[in-house]
Amino acid sequence: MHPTLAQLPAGRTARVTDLRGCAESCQRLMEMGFTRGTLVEVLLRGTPSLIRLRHGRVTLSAELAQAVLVG
Amino acid sequence: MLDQILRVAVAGNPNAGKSTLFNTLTHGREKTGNYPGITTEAKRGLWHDLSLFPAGAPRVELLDLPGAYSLHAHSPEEAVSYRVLSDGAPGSEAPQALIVVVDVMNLERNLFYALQLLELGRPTVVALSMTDRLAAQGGTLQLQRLAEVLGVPVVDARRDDPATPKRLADALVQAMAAPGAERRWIWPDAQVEASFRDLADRLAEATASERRGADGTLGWWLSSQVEAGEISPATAPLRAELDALAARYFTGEPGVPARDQMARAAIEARYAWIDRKVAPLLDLPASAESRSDRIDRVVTHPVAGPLLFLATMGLLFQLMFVGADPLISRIEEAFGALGRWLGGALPQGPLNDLLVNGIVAGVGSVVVFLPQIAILFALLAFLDGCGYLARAAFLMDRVMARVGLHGKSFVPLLSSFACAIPGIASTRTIERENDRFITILVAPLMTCSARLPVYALLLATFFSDRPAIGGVINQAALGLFLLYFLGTAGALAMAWLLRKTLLPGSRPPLILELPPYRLPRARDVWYEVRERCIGFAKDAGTVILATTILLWAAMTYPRAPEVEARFDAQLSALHDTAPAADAPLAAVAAHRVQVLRLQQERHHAVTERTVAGRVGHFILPVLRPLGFNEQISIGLIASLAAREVLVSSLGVSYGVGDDEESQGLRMALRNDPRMNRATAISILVWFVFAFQCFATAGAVRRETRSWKWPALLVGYQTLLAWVASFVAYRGALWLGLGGP
Repeated sequence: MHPTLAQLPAGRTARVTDLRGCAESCQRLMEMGFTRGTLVEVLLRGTPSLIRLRHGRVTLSAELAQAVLVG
Repeated sequence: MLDQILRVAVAGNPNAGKSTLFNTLTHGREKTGNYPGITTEAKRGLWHDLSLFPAGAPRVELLDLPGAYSLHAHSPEEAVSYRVLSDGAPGSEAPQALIVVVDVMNLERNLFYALQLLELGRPTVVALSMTDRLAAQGGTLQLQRLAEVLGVPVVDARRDDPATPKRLADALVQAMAAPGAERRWIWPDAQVEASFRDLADRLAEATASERRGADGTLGWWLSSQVEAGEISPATAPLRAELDALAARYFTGEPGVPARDQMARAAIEARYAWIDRKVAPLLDLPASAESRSDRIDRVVTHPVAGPLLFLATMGLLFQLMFVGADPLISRIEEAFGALGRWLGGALPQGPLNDLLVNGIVAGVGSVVVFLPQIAILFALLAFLDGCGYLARAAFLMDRVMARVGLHGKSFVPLLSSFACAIPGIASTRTIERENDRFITILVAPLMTCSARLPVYALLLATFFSDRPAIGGVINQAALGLFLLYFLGTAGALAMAWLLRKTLLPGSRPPLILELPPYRLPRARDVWYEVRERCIGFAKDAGTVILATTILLWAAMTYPRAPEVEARFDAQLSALHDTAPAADAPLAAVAAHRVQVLRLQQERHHAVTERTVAGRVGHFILPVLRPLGFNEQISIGLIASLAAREVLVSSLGVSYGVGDDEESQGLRMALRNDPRMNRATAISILVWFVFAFQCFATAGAVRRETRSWKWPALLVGYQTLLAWVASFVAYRGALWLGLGGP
């Protein structure tokens, strides 16, 4: 079982492996760059958390961070 | 280029620098109006510098589309782009070409939307923004190679370079001259392409034959995304076929609908394409920490962040009040003088009265809002341009989550401190309808600037000279703070209640981009402020003006000439017995009091017989438990035009000066035996919660497209105001504030 983005400690970098359980929001996450294989870095952990990906910074509420599986 | 006008849409991600480019090209000479075919406002403007185009070229009209991350819309604001771009109805004003703004510092993510737009197959220019920043960080982009890969002209469109418009104009001419672009769809793999190509082509033809998607090049992916409501007879069978094919092909993830899997495959295909073809062209050194990262370290810090946020908000309010105050007094003086001058210059009669008390007063009560609105929106535009508002939404998300809203509701509620109407309009960035409607319904509870004159008058009259909290501040200042607090707390509580009852839903998921910090240009801020002020004058102004005139009529008619004549005779008799100028002071004063009292009586007798007087009398039994007297009751009706009208209405009915600074009005209120601190508190609480603004109801109607929600707004606000005032009044009486 892969950990989720919500479980990564601040400062850690990982690759997105999958998205699950967020239907409409999953699609938006993907459109904003959270596709499989994308390198993400947790800048701030919490509600909401702050993620760096593809040269940009995106903030996600906890439910969404839990929907992003990383490995 | 045969048309007389070439319509070009400027599209791109939020924060990509779209509006900045639009302002640069149009010199801010835009017109805001409903875009034909859609009911949402869109900004349009002519390309200013015609000399950049060859002689005989058509004029270029630019359309500033709202920022979007995808053509598949998640918010009403994003939906605008799709509706405009897919509008191919005959005679439509759909854009013939596109300028897609792409932020090079965020190249991959910006190109995702750009690729979707390229799939539309219209002549397109890609304008790269933030190239100066890329250079400053030591990065490079192979611009020519990018143009080859994308198959359209790509230009450096950095903000502060005077040559940017020329480069764009050349590229636009080049794009228009290029032979019709072929369909460039990005397929996940050859197998999908083989399976879907034929069907996608037929779908595209079908949509084209209906003149949806002007060139018929809505991609296979897009076809699968179009909202169910937009399925038309011609495409319905094809869509069924598409669904069947998708169900056969996209079966990898059990539990996820095939069409969703297909959509995801399309998204991944685009990003894979970008990673393969474009990423190698960009050389961006992975610098240890950018300037924005360093600033964010403080701004988003768990302790320093909220403190900085509070300080920023405090400064914002300080600037709003201190800055607007002198302007507001000037405006009030000017309109008062204009009214007096007109009243004196024109012959007496109903027309004079309508002009002075209806129209001039009405226009005045609209204009008086503008200083605060202008200052607040200048500050908001500055903070937004810097990138701070996104951080504020990030910080406020936790607070908003408690009542079931998310960070994106923060800016609309903040704007509502100036006026709920622009606040309500700015909810369009909120994705889910229920979240958006809750924000719209509670925004009118935020303390807008129209309540301030009423607060100022009553607080100054009944509380000002009394110290509070051990003499640190006086009661009036404390009271003002409490009233703001009460409105905000009421808004949050109502949001929570609506979430639990009428507009249920889970906590809205927040996905928000934090753009890099950047100092906005002064002119971009100025254009934003101007647009907001014009928008307010148009939307709210017309309603406020109309209501003022209507209420003027209700406060004037039906007239009672015999009553007026009787009082006028008494007044003139009294005038004849006036003591000489050198009479003892006491005699002059006594006579003056007599005149004032008679004038007051005349006013009451005349008003009583008007429509407003009758309605005021009729509703008085309902308002009496709140401690309201007949003057207040009539004043409340008058204040339906605009809240601050209560002040002038009271002034008139007490026959004294009619602004909140007026010593006469304060004295009259203090000396009225029916008024005391308890009734003042009751009125103040009423003004915090009550529905008193038809313009707001109009804005709610427009944004929710139904009369149901404005009706609910009026209902709940009235009920809330009554209950809250009743509790406050009884509480104040119990505390012994009912005495003189």
